[in-house]
Amino acid sequence: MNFHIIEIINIVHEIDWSLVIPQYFFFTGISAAAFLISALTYVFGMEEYRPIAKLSLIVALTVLIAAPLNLIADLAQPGRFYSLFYHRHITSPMSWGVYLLTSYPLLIALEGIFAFRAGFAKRAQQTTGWQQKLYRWLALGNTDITPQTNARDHRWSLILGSLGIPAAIAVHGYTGYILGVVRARPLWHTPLTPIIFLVSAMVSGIAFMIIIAWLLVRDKNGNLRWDMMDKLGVMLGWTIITDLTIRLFWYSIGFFYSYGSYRDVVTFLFRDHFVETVIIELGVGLVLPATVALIPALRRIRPLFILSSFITVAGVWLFRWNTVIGGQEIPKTGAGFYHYTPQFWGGKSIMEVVSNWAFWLFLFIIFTWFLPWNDDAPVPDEPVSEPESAQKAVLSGGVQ
Amino acid sequence: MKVSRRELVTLAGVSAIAAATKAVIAPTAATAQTTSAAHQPRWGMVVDLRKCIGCQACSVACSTENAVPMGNFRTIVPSYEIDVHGTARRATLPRLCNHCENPPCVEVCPTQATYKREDGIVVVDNEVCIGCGYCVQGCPYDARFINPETHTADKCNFCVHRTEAGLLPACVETCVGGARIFGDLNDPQSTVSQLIAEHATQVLKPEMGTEPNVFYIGLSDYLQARVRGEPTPWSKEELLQDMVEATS
Ligand code: SF4
Ligand code: SF4
Repeated sequence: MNFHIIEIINIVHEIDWSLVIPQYFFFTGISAAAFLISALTYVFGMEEYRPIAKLSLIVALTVLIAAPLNLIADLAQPGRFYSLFYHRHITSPMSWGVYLLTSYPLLIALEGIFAFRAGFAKRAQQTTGWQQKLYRWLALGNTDITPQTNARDHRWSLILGSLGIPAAIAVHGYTGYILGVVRARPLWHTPLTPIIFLVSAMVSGIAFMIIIAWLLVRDKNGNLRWDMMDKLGVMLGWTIITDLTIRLFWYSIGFFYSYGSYRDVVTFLFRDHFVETVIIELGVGLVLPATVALIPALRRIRPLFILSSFITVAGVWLFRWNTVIGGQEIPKTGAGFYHYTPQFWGGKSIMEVVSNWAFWLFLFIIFTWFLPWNDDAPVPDEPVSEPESAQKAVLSGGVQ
Repeated sequence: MKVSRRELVTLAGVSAIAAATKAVIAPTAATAQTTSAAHQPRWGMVVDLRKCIGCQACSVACSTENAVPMGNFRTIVPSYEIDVHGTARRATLPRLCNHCENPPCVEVCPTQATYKREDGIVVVDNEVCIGCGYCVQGCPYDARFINPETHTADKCNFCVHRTEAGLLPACVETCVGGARIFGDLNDPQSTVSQLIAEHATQVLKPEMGTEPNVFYIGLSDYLQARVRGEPTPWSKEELLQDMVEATS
């Protein structure tokens, strides 16, 4: 049938969730992933990742301090943010978020205290004045470094780290949930949204930690830890494959089998935004880094490996953008698609995202400056270096 | 706001006189409230598209009544040109909050600032609303916006300040063609209930499971969901700019 509709009068609805929301989702994702990387050492005892375990905790905490600022900035009534604590609503994922966003960083900080305690104790012994006081306080007043205290610290890192794993998954999973429940937005409304957010968070977090390791982590001779970064690279590659597999399910079911309103998503992503979605986000942002990460010959071209890690991080940011902003560019009632161009200055602007990054960097510098993440002097906190008798003492202590 | 039944009747009477042309419709709002003390009204609307001429009088009356900031609308009448086999016709579709029975906006609001009243009207408490915009995302009907002046969520509330006083919503009172009919869905005698009983009615996006309380008579299926066609060729920014230039 020859049928055609032209919309003559309608209003264009504003894109209400601006670009600070993708930034918020991106940062919580990095936090969750960095935390899970630290858990590889603290919970699963994988020693090969120990050189970045402490840095991962620092990243997990600092990005999570910076992330909610984006949320608050996006509220039309930022001053009422605190009211989320006492005006609760069980059916609203945003209402759960405020509890997750408070308890999870506390959990990281607490785990950090135990993970860093020996380092604090050592610094307390080495410093004087206010620094000594600070480190002594951070070391929970106990500046002993004995096999027993180390064993206790390990135990607590293990317990808190184990509690942190579901918390990290929840803190990022809920952001996917926020979008997933919105049935008015076909791009968001799929049960896969929380899962794909978690997997892409891992992708961005692993790539992010590769970059951090490349910038900061050196062995005793001052060499880069390529052995560890290679392992992270392989992990990155497989995580990207998982991400691509989920997308294959998501897009193919949506493309071939879904209901009417999903057709808009397909047109939007694969016709109108072909370059952003297919070429940049999927091709350059995922397929290319996975290829580099999984083919040893390519991975050993070190500048390429590092560059592809940067690209991966940017690609996941773009995915957050394409999802949050793209979802709103598909009108709910109006014809056609909307276009959103963020402002450069002012509220909800590009500069707001830039300053959020700057704030994170500031926190990261402060934290890495005063936290003993790199005490490679023989701090006897490696379980391997513990004398057997000490472990026995702990075991018997634990039984009592 | 509590209004006694006697006051309601009086106010309804006043409104009926004030809006003489609405004599048939106006008492409907009030009679429902006066039938029995225990009676709980459930407000709803029927939009008879056969009578809508797309004049936007309702959009203007609403914006004036509720001081809606320029560029935003609590109700609007999108118009479409529909070409079937080379024969063109116009269609208009007044849109407003549907005061859904199962409102997703209420579900997602983290602070319960937006809630459904006993009488079915979905309202926003703008002293509690934090302006997170979650309800704006959640409403499948584009019925909400963040008011740039109050910095809180805003939308049609069936002119609750008027209905509580026994008056009709401003859009209903002003509707030139009598296309908007407001009343108590719980009262089988009300005009809305009778129209629903006598006519085939449709709602927007029924697949969303929201169970709207705004019913349409004569709504074509291709306008029920998101309209697939050519978008309006002008942007809000351009129109506002034109208005500013015209008035300066
Ligand atoms: S139309 Fe939208 S704003 Fe109105 S009750 Fe339904 S979901 Fe809520
Ligand atoms: S904008 Fe206000 S009414 Fe809407 S969901 Fe947020 S707090 Fe609730």
